Amino acid sequence: MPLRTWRSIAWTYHILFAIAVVWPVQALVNDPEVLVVGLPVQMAWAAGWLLGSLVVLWRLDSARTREIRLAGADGSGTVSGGGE
Amino acid sequence: MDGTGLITVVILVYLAVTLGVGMMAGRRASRSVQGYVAGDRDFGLLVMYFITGATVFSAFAFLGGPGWAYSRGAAAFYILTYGVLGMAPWYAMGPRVAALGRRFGFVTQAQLLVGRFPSKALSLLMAVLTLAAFVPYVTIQMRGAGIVIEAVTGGEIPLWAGAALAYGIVMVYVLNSGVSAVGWTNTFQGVFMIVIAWVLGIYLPYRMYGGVGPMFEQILDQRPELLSLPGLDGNGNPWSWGAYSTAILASAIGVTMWPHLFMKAYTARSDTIIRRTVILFPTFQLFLIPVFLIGFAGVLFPESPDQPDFILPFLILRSELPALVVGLFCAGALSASMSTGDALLHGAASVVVEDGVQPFKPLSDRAQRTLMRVLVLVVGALAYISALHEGFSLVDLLLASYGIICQFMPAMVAALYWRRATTAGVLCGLLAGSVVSVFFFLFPELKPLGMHEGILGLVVHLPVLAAVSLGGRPQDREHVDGYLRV
Repeated sequence: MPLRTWRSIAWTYHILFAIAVVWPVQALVNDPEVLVVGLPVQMAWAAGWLLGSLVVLWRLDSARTREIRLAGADGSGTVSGGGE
Repeated sequence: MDGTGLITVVILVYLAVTLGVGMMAGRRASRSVQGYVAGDRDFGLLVMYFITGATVFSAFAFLGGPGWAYSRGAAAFYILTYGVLGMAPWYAMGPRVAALGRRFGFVTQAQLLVGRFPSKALSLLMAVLTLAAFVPYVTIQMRGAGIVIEAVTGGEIPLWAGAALAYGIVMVYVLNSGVSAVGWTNTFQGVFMIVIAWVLGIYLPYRMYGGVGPMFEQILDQRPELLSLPGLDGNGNPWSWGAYSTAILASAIGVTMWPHLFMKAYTARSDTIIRRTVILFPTFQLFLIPVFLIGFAGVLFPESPDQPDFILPFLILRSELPALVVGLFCAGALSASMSTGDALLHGAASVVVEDGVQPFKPLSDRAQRTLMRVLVLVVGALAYISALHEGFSLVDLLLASYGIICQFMPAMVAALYWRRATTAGVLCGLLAGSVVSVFFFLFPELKPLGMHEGILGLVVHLPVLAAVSLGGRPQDREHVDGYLRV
């Protein structure tokens, strides 16, 4: 996928992350009796979003590195939507 | 040598190593303001990773986090979420800030803002607001260090002496080596903190309850109110969803706006290093999980510490661990305090000189460095006096500071991305947002839905910034291009 797409995915992911950990969505993930790998579900929920952020940002950076390499190869020297 | 003596020796050795690392770090940096404040813009990924992580995770996280989990239960989970949410936009903003720093020679946050929006009043306002937010934040760190040393020495070294000892050392290496000392000591301390948090966070639940799952099952059985969001408030009553949700949002908005963290963008060797630091940041954030497990491990413990913030050293001292290991754990807690406190002291002094003095009375490079060193001592003394007062929680103090700091975000976003923003708009927005935030901090009973004062400030800040900017004359196109075309 191109850098532009990954950039949109990263923005969307973190907006969803913000929505997921505040009221009212978090109130739906709030059953104290549910444990996930030994942790309360709310804690595992937050940890899951954190790990997802690591993956999304890593893929975004990979896409960026790839695009810079391609831009270097074709001599244009520019990255789409640059100025990050 | 008895247990307390051995623990004290371990802590003293740790402090000596930290001092040595800090003093040696300064040998590499140039003797200029840029060397003292921005490390000659030469930090690599390792140092940037730890300086970011260890600066964000302070005594607030290492002592306040377990304290909140212990006393307020699930309310502490807000701390787990906001760091990454706040850091993610830095992937885009950080390299832009660094590029402008290189282009115009900026070393502080306000210099960038005032570069785009020329105004001595704005520079002074940023310096004053930064100082107002920093003093409580340094206070947290000093108090944290004092708490640990008092607890592990069984009160033989009281809080006031412990805080003075730890921060005396911090001041020596910050005075000598500037941000280079902050970077390398944070790397040493960051490794220490992560290892100790994970070891202790897994060990204590196993030793006391037979595992993490069994621990939560027992808490659920006896204190179910602690495991349901939004948790409890400071008085043990249910916290509100409004307060919980806005604590996350205000902290996420403010986290990269802390001047001591923002300024680290100027220290990176390249933009790639800033981006990689952001990508790796969640690995640092996950270390809050074992930190919370430590706090929850204390919930059903038959004895209680005097204050919730003491729960970590309280449990360690009662866990029948060898004294050497206890000493290392306590050194980890001290690392958390000192790794943030040094960056704060250095940041506060840099901001006051560069933004509060230099625009009004230009100083030579040498005079700036001298004044920064004097201010490290002044800010340290102010925070030290505050740290000796009891009656507040570490997390509450930090939350209050975020009310002011998150007002910097709209101004910074406008400086970097909004062509139509004007000096008057930014100044009015910043003033209005800060006044509202301070008002609700002073009169918390008036907060609608218990919302965080920083968010309430932003509700006023944003329309004021937009309305005043759009109502005034646009800035010169060429001037704006210098900031937007990076």
